[in-house]
Amino acid sequence: MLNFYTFNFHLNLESLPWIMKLNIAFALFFLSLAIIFFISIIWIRIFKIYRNEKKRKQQALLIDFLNSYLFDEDFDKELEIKNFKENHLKTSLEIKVTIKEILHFHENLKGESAKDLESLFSKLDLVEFTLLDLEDGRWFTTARAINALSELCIEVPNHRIEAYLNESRNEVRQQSQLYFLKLAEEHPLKFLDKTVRPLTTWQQIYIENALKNFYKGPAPDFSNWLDHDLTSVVEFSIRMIARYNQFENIPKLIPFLKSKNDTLKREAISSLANLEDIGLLELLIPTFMDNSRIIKLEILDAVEQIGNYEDLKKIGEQLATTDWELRIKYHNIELGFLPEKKELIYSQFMLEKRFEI
Amino acid sequence: MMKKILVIEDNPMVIKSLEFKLTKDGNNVMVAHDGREAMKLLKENEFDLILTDLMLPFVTGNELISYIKKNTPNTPIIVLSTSTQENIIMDAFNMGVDDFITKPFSPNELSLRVKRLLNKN
Repeated sequence: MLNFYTFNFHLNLESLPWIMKLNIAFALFFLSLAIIFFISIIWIRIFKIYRNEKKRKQQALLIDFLNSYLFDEDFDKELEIKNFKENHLKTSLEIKVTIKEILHFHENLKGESAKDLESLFSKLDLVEFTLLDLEDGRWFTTARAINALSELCIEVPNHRIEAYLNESRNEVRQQSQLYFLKLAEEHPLKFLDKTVRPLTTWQQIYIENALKNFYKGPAPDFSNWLDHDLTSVVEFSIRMIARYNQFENIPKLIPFLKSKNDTLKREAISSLANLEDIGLLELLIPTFMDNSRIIKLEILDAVEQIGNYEDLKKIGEQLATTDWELRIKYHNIELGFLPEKKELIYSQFMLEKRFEI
Repeated sequence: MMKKILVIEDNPMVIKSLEFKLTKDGNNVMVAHDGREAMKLLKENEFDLILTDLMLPFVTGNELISYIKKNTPNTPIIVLSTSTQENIIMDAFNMGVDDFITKPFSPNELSLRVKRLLNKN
C-alpha cells in the first residue's frame, strides 16, 4: 500500500509544472528552517536550565564551603581545599561561579574574614585562571578579571595591567585604573603618566571615590599632572587640588586663569574660589567682559562664594548685555548680598526685562 | 542555655554566613527573608536578640523596629545595614536599637557584639 502511494506521489510530482516544483522546494526549505529554529530554541532553553541548575548546585556548595572555611575552627582547611580543587573546580563554569561567589562574600565581609578570602583565592589557584581570562580578548572578560584582582587585592606584575590603561573600551580602562588605585601603597596616580586616552567623567568620579575610600597612603601632589597632555587629566588635577585643600599649589593654578581652554579656565576659577584665594577676583573682574559666557557665569559664582557686594557692582558696571541668564544670575547674587532690598531689586529687574534695557 | 536569635535579612549570602557563625557560637538561629515573614515569626516566638537589615521587602526595617519596641521592648536589636549616613544611624538609635553595624561587616566583631548584648540581658 505504502509503495503504491509513494509511487503515485512520485509520478504526480514528476508530472507537475516546474513552477509548482519550485514552490514545493521552497516550502520544504522553509519548513526545515522553521524546524531547525524551533529545535535550536528548545535546545538552548534546555542547556540554560541545565547550566543554571549546575550553577545553583555550585553556589550552594560554595556557600557551605566558604562558611566552613571562614568560621568553623574544626574545618581541615588544607585537606578541604585540596578536595574542592580536585572535585569542584574542573569546568570553566565551576571556576567562574567560584570566583563570583568569593567576590560576593568579599564584598559583604571585612576584617580577618576578607583577608582569609583573599588567601583562599590564591590557594584555589584562581589567580592563574584570572590571568588567563585577562588575555581572553573579549573586553567584558578582561574587565571582570581586572576587577577580581583589584577587589581581592591580588598583585600581579604591573605590565600585565598597564597594557589595558589605554584600551578602546572605557570599562576596561576604568577597571585597570581602579586596580592601580586600590593596590597602591603610595603614588596612587602614577598610572596617569601612562594614560594617553582622555578620562571620562565617570572615570574621574571613580578615581576620586577610590582615592577617598580605598587608598590609605599619603595624598598625591596633584600639581604633578598640571602639565599633562590630556585636558581631562589636567582638569581632574585642578579639581583635586581644591578637594584636598592643597593651598601650596595655588600659585600653580593662577596661570590657568589666562588659559585659552575654557574647560581648564573654568575649573581653575572654581578650584581657586573653593580654596578661598583672595587675589582671584582682582584678577578676574577687570577683564570680565573679555570672557566667554560659561566663564562669566563661573566668575559670578566665584563672586557669590568669596566676594562682596562691591565686587559684584564692578561686574554690574560692565554687564551691558541682554543675556538674560547672566542678568538673572547677577540679580540673584545681588539678592543674596542685599536681602533687605529684595523687593527693590526684583522690581528693577522686571523693569529692565520689560523695556529690554 | 541556647539563646534564640532572629536574623532578618534579604541577602542569601549574608543570611547563610550569619546563620552559620551564630549557630557555631551556640545560638538557636531563626531566619526571615523579608519583613512580612519576620512579623509572622515575631508573633509566634519570643527572641533573645534580633538582628535586622533596614532595607527589606514588604515591611521596612524601621516599621519592624517600631513593632518590636512596642510589643517586646526589652528585646535587644542590632541593625546590620549598608547605610553609613549619619541621619539613618541616628534615626535607628532614636527608635531604640541597641547597636548599628555597617556592611561590609566583620563576622568576629558582630559575634562579639551579639554576645555582649545577650550577656547584658
